[in-house]
Amino acid sequence: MEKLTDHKRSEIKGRLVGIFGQENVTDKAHDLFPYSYDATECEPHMPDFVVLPETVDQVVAVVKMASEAGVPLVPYISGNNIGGLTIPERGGIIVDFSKRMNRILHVHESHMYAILEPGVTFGQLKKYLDEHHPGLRYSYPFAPPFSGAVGNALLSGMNNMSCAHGSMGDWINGVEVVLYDGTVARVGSCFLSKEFRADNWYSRYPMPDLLGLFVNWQGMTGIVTKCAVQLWPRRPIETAYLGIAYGYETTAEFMRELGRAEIIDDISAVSVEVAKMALGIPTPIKVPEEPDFALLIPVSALTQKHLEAKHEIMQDVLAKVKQKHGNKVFLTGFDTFASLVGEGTRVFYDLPGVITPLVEYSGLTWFGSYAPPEHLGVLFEKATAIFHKYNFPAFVYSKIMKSGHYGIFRPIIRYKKDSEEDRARKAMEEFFDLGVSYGCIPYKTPVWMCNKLKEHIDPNWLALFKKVKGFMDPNGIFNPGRWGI
Amino acid sequence: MTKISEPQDILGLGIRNLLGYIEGRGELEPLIANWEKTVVIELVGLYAVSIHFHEKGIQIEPGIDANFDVMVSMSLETIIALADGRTSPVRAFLKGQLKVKKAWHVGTLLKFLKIILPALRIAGERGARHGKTHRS
Repeated sequence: MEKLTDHKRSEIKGRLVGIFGQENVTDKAHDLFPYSYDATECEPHMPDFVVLPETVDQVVAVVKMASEAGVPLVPYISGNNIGGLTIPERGGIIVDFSKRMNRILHVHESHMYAILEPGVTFGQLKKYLDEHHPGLRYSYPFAPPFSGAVGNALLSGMNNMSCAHGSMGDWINGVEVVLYDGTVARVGSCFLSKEFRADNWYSRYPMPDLLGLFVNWQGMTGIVTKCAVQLWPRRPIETAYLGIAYGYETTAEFMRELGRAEIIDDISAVSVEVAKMALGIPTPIKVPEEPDFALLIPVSALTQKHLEAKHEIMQDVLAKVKQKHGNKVFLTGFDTFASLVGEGTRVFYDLPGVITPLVEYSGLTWFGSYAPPEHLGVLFEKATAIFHKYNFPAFVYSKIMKSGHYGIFRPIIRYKKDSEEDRARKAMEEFFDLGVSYGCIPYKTPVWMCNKLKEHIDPNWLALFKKVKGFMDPNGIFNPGRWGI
Repeated sequence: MTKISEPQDILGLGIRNLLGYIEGRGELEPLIANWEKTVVIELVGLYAVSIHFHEKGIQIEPGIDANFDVMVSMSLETIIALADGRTSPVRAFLKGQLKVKKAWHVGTLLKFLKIILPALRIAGERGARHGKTHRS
């Protein structure tokens, strides 16, 4: 977008005030500044306006206005993604849903879904379910309670039930979305009525799955105003195990085997350095005797016998891995272990929560990727070497998703923005090259990484992607610049 | 107040945390007054840490100090079971789950157990409280 002239700026502001009211529109630099950057190395860009919508009608009005005026729209919830996804690459209007469009519209107890407005946070949803629907649960990522639940689902984030149920993108039953011309479309089983109804958002199949036009598009194809996410029955017993492992391949194999056993809710592995960060060591260095990884394994069960059966199976898996790799993996109850080594480690289990190791520095970045599980061991090893090369503490985070159909490989760097950003960026580029060379696909992808990714992907996919983008956003108003287009 | 070193390894941090429970109750200082001993705790399959008690405080470091006075070896499961109260040192010892080197230093062993066992029990009780929170 070309820089707005004073006249045009004034005209747009007048129209925005007409839509949202004076108190819900700002173009003051001190209001705009926090929306111009995030924790990552992604280049900051100032927006021209921030608006706070409350209704779908207001979103429709701003989309029509933006289409007409050719002004970019960037949907925003909490801005704490680690990919620069809400940085307005080409300026324009930040549509901040977090303040007023954050209602939990309906929870369908029988069909087990919740219809959310885009500004609903994980903490809000958890509190609401605990208070009003204690028999149902959502699941939560390593993210603070103020993170947006809808944004995470639309960007295929992960959570603490991902080993059992896969990516959050798979949990979406349907969305209501405002298209470029102001049309409001409902996608998913909710299409089976002329008007909005709260009781028909139970599935995204068997009609053509148009959700693919919106999931993982980073707000480039429309603005989602409602999203139905699946909930799950809450089990009477929820507990967690703690694993400790020596060896990269041993860790990876243990994760894969536990995933395939289909008895756990989730499994997250972190470099041992990360556990020490949570215990107050700011720049931990692994001592030679220490294990390489700590693993958190949430498990739920219907009865004590059910839990005991799962425990027995876990011990069998452990024995199998030990038989192959030696006595290199250890498993115990998480709760007592956490009290033994330090309560700080609980941040990884009490979700959603502020993961202290992630917020102690001014900069935070990662190569978050979906990964082929068979390569996790070598990825751990090579990523650790890259951390050491660039003099950052090893911070590998990994998961097995959907019983092992895919995994997560995410090297993370905490850094000082004023002095370490170049080094962090160079390390990230190496993580990217490493990951892609083993078939990893980055998610919540920053622009610079998308541009690198284009060098590797099927050109016909890219051509199709651009065609779809052009069809869905002919005026180029939806979060332009993302994916470098 | 007893000065406890700041270890950089995960087991050392655990030992420091455990000693902190006792220190928090004001029970550590009288127990270790004028006590100059080195005790090693080994978690079998993991590694060992050496704990030096001396007049200037407590120093914790990874590895086995060759001049240890007593060395206690057990598995991760056993130390968790001790914390949870599912076993006792005597029972674990009789079952071969807890082994002691230089056991003839009975006084040192008993004193160390007097320090570490209450700390482990505090950890176990705290863990159980959190377990209830998580409905486990």
